[in-house]
Amino acid sequence: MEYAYYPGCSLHVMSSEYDVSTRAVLARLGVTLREIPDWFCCGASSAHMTDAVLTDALPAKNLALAVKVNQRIAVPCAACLHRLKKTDHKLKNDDALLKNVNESIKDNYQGNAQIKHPLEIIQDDLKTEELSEKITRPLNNLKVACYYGCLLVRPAEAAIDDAENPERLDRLMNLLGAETINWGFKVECCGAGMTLAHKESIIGLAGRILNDAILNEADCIAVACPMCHTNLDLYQDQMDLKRKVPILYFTELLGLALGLDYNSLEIDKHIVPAKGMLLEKGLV
Amino acid sequence: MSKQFSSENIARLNAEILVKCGVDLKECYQCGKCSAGCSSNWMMDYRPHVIMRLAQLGQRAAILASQAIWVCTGCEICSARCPRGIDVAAVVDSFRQLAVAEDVRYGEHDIPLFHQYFLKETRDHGRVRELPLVANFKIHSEHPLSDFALGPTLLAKGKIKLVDDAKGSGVNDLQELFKLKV
Repeated sequence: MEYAYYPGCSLHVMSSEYDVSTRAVLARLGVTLREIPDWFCCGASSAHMTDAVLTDALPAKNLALAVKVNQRIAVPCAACLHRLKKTDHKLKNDDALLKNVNESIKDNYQGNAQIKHPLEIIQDDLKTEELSEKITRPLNNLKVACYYGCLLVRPAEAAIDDAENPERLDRLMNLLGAETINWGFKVECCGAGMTLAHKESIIGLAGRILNDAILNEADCIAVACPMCHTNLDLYQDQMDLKRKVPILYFTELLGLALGLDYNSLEIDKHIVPAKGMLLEKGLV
Repeated sequence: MSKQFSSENIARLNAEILVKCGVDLKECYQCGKCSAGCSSNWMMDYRPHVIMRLAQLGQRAAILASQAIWVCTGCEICSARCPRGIDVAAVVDSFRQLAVAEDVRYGEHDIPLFHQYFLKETRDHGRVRELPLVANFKIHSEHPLSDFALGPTLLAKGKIKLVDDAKGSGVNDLQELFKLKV
């Protein structure tokens, strides 16, 4: 199984540990990723919030470049996934818009991309037994709060799961041997692209998510988006919390369960250290 | 009724939003579910259902000058839960885009500024480089020195790079589409 790979800007530097762990677990599971050589920013929040033309032009051009590598495209960043899928949905259903956009991006995208999040690839392309056979270090005794955020579950045309009670991450974590908690903040917003622009949003929004995870005695929060990770991880020092909560990419937890080397997953790049907790649980 | 609420203003804004994002403002019956679920309702001058009501009443200038349209994170809870199937988030996007295109005096300083510098990185380098983005944005923001102390930690952790010669060359064909003020 082979995919064109669109890492997105966050995975390039800020969240490179998500890039590293995504590549490592997919390679371990027999999925080949071929990075799109000239990929560029999808526009994230800033394009659709300020400019109607860039909203679709930036994702459309990236899709045009991607399908030259492979029609199946893997996108680990929830924000990139959301932008690429929203534009793709519009282009697939509006021939006039497709023609206009193709003129503006000087390309000829045909609306033929299949865009997937790595979570979907792992759960839909692979057989559950194949995955469970490869688990060498089950995540026993680990209580995980699975956090989906906004952009993986809304709107329907871009979503990978139910909008109000998604369960994909929970199912994967359960398969790996972890216990997942019931909590109220699975699909609440962490502040998204406001990390730098408006810290007050992050302190409030990410803070209440962390507090609910703490209230429900989670050892860590599992995420599938670099923005969620940054917002939950970066400012814990400045929040009113009973304790700190390590934030882990689902690919890192999967990597540990698959027996990959702790250091190779670059988990120490997180601001809130996870190693102590993982050592205590016998996962390092 | 005063001129401010004239039927011309109402019809004009309703038509404008319909063209921009396909939403028929008349569909909204003001249940307030968008505002109840809104992530950022606690910070807004006008909550989402109020924006919708002001829009129904043709109050274009008030919405464009609001702070609410900028603190909206784009989480789309409002759209997902609207019992009338209205894409409220698309309405908010439309107003933000109009505010930028018409260069109005924004109701929020830092957030629209951040978007400009973010897209500048996209336009000039194809990929957003964290350090130049932080530097450019902070210098021009209302809080230039906030979280300065985080810098060394982020550098040490490799979360930002001093030199990043990233180039997403796919953006080269799109240069003339960018209408930035920076």
